[in-house]
Amino acid sequence: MGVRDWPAILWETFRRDVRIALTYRLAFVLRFLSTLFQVAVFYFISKLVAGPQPGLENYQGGYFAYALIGLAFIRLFSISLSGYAGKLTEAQQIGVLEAQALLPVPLPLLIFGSNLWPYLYAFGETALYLLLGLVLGAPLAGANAPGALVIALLASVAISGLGIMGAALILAFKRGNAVSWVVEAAAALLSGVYFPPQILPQPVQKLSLLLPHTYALKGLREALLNGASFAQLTQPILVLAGFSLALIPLGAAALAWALRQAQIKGDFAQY
Amino acid sequence: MTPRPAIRVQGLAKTYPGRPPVQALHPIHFQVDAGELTVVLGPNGAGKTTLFKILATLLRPDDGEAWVAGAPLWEDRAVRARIGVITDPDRSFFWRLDGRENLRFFAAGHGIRGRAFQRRLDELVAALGMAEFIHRRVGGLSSGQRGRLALARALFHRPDILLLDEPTRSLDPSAAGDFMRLLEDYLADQPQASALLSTHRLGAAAPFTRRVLILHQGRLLADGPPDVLIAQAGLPQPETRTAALVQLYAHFTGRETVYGR
Repeated sequence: MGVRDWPAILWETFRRDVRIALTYRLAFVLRFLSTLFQVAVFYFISKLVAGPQPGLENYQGGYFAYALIGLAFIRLFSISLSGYAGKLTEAQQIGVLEAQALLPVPLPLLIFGSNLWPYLYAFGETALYLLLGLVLGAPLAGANAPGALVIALLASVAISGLGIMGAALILAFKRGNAVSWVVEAAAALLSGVYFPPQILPQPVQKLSLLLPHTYALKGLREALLNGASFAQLTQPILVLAGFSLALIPLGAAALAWALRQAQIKGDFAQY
Repeated sequence: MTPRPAIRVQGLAKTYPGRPPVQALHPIHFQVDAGELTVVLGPNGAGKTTLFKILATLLRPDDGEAWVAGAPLWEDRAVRARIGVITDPDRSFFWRLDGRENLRFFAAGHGIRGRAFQRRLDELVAALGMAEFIHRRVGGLSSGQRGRLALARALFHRPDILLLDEPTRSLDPSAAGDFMRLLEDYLADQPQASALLSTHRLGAAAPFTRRVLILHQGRLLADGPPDVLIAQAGLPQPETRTAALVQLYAHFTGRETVYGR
């Protein structure tokens, strides 16, 4: 089993997860309804805050369009942040982690593979959010979709670095999810998911610069609401590439360390 | 030329960190030859699972070294490619998928896909009598059926070494006997294959046991054919193989076991 077998392993992992997901068909309907209701909630909230608002003047479409982008992409980023740890915990809980670790393939590859279906699903949900937004009047007709895709992919990679660190914490300490929750809550508060960071107190605003989410959402709004060109998106693309280059090796090192620890302690499959 | 041992263990030791640390395995030495079915006996906490996990590369020893099918433990992927393992048949499958889909995923992990997968699946379904349940969700299978599925997964890639840690734990005596027969059939078909098997079901294992290792409190107390160990220990020669294992177990561990289970 060499590197050239890896795509096949990833495909089988993806296929496995799709087949498992298809056994929970009602969940698809419920998630669709949840998306629909969430978009509707923010659509009506936007009626309350109609008119000029601080931080919104840079984007077309007012508060609804602003919140729509935050909602559409935060779920995708959440897969990067919490998905790896979540899948690892799930495998520990149902008892298949050890069986997978016995395969002659790197365990990180299987952990990555187990997040492929959630990614695809989240991409689908993001598209659904945007479609619903378009129907409700969000100004997406002039969007730079390829630019937005590049930013979304780069952000997913960068945030995955944090997510892989979370998975490492799960392996090493059994309770790493709390860290992901904190980062996710911080991102919701600081990075401009629901409201512009400009309305936060100045010192708190500076904290938002530490999160890749901030640059991703800013770039996504520029690309999708203002139709910014690739040249205009250079800053968020470079910053997200920098985050990726820094965080992915850190995440990989943390995971390798955690796997070693689990093999020493013998609590590899425990949760 | 002396054949290469299937498993060679030299001074493997393991202490679990903690307060206080727990020494699960004192340095042990043994060797399993190709073609052997070796049964590991010992009460709970004897160190059997620790030994199996080390040999399966799931656990790092503190000291010592071992070679599994010629590969040192630190070459973990080479070892994993050559072993078939059963640890917990009930909890090691994706319960929402059927047996075939589970085997497909794990076989792909060994590079077996497409027609090669289907051919091997057909062989194992016939050999292990899985036709009636291979397309049923694992969650709806009995423990005995899951046990067979676990054996099929362990055998799928025709491993040189089988590491079977209490594979009959949740089986009734009849199913445990069936399991042992299937295992012996496999070893007969694959003369170079070896198995290290731990069990508390002495009755099911006895007819197939040519060699036994007895572990107690992390120490290897006995290693050899049951009749030789009986003679060395000065015990009366028993009438049945099961009785021999029961006697040896009681003699070395100081614990009684339930005859014939």
